[in-house]
Amino acid sequence: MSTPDDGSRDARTGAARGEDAATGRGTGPGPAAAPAPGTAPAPGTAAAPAPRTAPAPAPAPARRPASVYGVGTEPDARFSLANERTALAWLRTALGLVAGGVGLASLASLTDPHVVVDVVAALACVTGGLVALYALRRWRANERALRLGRPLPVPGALPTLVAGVVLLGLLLAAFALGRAV
Amino acid sequence: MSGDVPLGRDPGLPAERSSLAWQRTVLGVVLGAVVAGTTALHAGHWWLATAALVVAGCAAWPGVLRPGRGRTLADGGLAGALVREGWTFLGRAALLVVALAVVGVALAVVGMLT
Repeated sequence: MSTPDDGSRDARTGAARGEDAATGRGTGPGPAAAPAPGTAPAPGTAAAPAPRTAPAPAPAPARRPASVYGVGTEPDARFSLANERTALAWLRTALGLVAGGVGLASLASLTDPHVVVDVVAALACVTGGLVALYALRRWRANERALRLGRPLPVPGALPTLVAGVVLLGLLLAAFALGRAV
Repeated sequence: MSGDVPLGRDPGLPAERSSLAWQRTVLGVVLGAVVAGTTALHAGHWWLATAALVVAGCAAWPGVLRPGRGRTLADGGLAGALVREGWTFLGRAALLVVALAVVGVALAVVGMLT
């Protein structure tokens, strides 16, 4: 392993050290005579790539919110992207509730006691708005946990959301049954 | 299999999936706002229709909500790390959903009163 390495170093610096390379070849590649001239440039060549492997201390423009980006260390970008997608999924859930509420509000005029459907529609819209705000809050908590290396927070709103959707479904079902009988 | 993915890119394509998630979300906001606006127009509430149109316009206008900004798909999006304004755009998207929710509540309340 060290032999080809030394060889490549010799090849790179061969032009500058013509006589060293010549003596190195003259003594033969097998014995450890070659490392002797190679030891001198080795620290130099090893030090050269070091700045390349530690690239630029990232200009790091201030990112908002400071309460998230001001703490901990930068996590793997894939985790942050996954967190962003999770927040967007929550946002789409919120959007589904709002769109359902808007749809119900538009259909309410077709129902007889339309107040019930209107109330359900308003509840769905309000819940959707709250879930949208929860998406932001959760993104923030997750990102902080990622940066600080802590366990991710429990999605506490999930049971509430499920209960709310079930409640809305039951209300609509009761309304439909009441109309049927 | 790994030959399909250019070197330096994550085979899970997280940046692409994130961009698509943004597009789905924006599309959902626009469609929801269009439905709300149509409903308001049918009900004769032009001011609610205008509000819904504003929400749809803000969501569709890339200057307000620009998914994937600062992220280049060429490098898989990982070299540039996160979008610098990610929080801002996430906040605006959430605000648009909240605005749409307000329009929906207004539609329901107006429906109750009439």
